[in-house]
Amino acid sequence: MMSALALINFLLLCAGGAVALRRYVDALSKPIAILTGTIVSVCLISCSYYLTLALGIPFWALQVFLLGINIAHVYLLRSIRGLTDTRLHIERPKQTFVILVGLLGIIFYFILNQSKYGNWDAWSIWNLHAKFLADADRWKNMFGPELAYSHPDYPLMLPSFIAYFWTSLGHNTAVVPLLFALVISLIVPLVIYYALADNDQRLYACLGLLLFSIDNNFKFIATYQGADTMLSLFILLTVAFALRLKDLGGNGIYLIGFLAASSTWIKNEG
Amino acid sequence: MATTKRYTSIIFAVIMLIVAGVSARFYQLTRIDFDIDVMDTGLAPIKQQLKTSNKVGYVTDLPSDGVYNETAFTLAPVVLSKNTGPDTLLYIHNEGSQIKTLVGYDTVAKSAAQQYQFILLKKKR
Repeated sequence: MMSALALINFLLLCAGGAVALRRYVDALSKPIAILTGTIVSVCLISCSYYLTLALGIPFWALQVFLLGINIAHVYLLRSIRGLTDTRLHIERPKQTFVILVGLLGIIFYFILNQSKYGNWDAWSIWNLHAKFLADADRWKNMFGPELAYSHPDYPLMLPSFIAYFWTSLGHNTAVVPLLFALVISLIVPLVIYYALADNDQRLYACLGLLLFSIDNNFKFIATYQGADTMLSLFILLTVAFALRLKDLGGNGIYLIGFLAASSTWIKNEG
Repeated sequence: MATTKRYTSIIFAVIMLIVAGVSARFYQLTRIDFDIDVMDTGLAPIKQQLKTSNKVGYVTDLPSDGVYNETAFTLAPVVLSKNTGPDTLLYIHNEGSQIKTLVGYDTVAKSAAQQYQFILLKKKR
């Protein structure tokens, strides 16, 4: 029950983020707004989860709060209608096919090479921190001197986001960080594609996406389940929007500022 | 129109392939025992005893950082301290090496997985 509510709250927040971005930032296409809305929601969920721990607020209260926000944007921004108002029609089937082939390449790499717990850093740093954060009573133990090897100074966006779902599920399953790593590794080439396609550079967009799908270095690092790919995504979005600053209108700079600043909540070195 | 229809069918077929592939991989991963899974199974009875603990000492025959890190990950949010300061100690004994006798401690729980034997000890009062 709680896990379904947590997932629905996250998905609705993504939808609300996408619709709010389209409303307040000019010249954003629907796909790039959805991708950015998702990333902004990941950031908001992780920050709010960490705040509830720090302030001693129970998890159910966070869910009620998120539900309130989601009801508000569904009602005020008509966010659900805003995202589902198009008919199920593939406008550019050839390019959609290229996108899917590219994504399929990355997914196959995951299917063949993904380790359950990621690499050493993933489980001994990021997911270890997530395990602490998933326990509201004992999460501060992670800052003890015994865990100096796990870099307790590292920012907590990734661990907090994983802990949000682990708390909602009531146990720490490896599927959450694994699936999240896969989603992030798919969003990176999609952002490249849509950032270029929105500038009418569809050929380069297709080539860029295919380049990611054949680049084993990118895919290898993406399967780590570390924070590196997520950091690169935030930098990518920041640069992509900065290059289109004039088109984005007055609010574009706030979006760029938010994305750039949020990078510091992912990694502080390395 | 016909081309669009054909592409649409291919696209949906690819989507189905992606969903099937990812599901199969998840299923496969749940069937494989990784090192951490071995630790998780072996330490399950020990974790039951540490439900409200914050810190446990760590003694082992194994000089490996890997075993320590895997154990620390498995036991989190309980902190695994590399010294014998805390009242509760976890001793990981490796099959084939001489078992240590820790004087002044009572055995609280015992379990095993593969080559490891996990012994939870508590200081005598």
